[in-house]
Amino acid sequence: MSNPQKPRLPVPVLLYFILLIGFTIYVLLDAFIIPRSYIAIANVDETTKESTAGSTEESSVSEDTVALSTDTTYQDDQISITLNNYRAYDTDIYVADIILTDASVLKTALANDIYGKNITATTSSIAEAHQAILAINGDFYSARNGYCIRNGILYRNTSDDSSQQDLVIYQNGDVSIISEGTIRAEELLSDGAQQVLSFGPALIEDGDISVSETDEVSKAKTSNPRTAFCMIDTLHYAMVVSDGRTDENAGLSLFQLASFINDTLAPQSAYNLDGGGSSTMYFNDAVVNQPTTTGNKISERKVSDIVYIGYN
Amino acid sequence: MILSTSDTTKNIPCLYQNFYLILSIFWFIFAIIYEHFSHGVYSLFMQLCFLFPLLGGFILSWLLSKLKLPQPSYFIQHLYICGLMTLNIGSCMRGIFDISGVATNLLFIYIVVGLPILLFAMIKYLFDSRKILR
Repeated sequence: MSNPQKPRLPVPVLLYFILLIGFTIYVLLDAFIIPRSYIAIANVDETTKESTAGSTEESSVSEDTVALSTDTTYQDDQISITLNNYRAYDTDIYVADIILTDASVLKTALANDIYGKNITATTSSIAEAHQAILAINGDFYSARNGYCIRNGILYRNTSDDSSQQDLVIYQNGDVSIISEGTIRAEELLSDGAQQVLSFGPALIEDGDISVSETDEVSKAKTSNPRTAFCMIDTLHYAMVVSDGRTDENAGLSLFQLASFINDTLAPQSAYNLDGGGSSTMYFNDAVVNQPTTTGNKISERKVSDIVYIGYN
Repeated sequence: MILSTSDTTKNIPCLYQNFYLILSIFWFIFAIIYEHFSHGVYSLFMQLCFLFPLLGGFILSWLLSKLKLPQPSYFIQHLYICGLMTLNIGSCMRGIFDISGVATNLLFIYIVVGLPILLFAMIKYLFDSRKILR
């Protein structure tokens, strides 16, 4: 029997591969390019059980307020910020020490004030739009799953990882770190959560370092630029940003970040936020660190959200 | 165009053997280059992506000819490569999303579509080859 000739690729198979490639392109566009806006689920006014009369959601600066600011400090009657630069692990680290009289000036903001996917802007532009005194990048909520509550509004209540640790900032300024498997987002909202950020992991809990030397985010095993939020005491916080990915700045592992924060600030709790090219600190109308994605060029990455101190 | 559904004989060549080998090499090199620029973030789905065409394609077809087993019909070969490539691209995509840290809810479609096609092709081959061997 003679060998049959090899047939040409059938049209149905060709069509299938065209469909497969088209679907793949759509998945990539959907994840990285196509902007979408979503609506909020609920806000704290609808779910808070106790009356919040007497507490203010809107913060305001009185006409008599005098603000004094330098390159490294800001002071008015509600906010006191001191910016210190450190050098550790061959890396520049920027620490903003924050003391407040009212937690309502600790806020978050979304890029273009829109909750959605692939809606991004630089940390500095979001901060400028809200006249932020101090700002850091947030958890890049739009690229991830997990709870999302911003300024008392619940945007996302789904979780695909029950062990996911979230940072919770309450209306009274208290901070806690929870696991999404232990409490629903609606419960957090009714408990008075004003901000819930979902990135992690927790770096310090109850004063103790809670990451090991082998812990990393998303299987990363090398040093990187980092961003962290810390609670030192009641209404006393710190925002920490480190540089990295350049010859001058090696970057930090999570354990190094936690160790540095523990040694320098001794906070009650510290939480890791989005790092890498997103790590940005903005203070008194300027970016103070050296943000970089590839290490070849110093420039801000566009992010989906920020955490900031300000009145607007 | 030949699409015989029961024409499983030893004389039918493996249509895609060279393609599987080239694709294995491509994914191997692609994974190395991709992870070189990923700032130390890695994904097993990306690193092992080359195994789909290597083990599931090239080695399997080589074994079939080496062991002188009946070659699958053209129809089964076409079906099989559709299923295998769907899973293969799904693995690569999972690697891309793991490395970037971005979440998506669409990756399950690669498994839901690719796995049944692949399994159907394998089961059809087993049934057809039993008829031949009887």
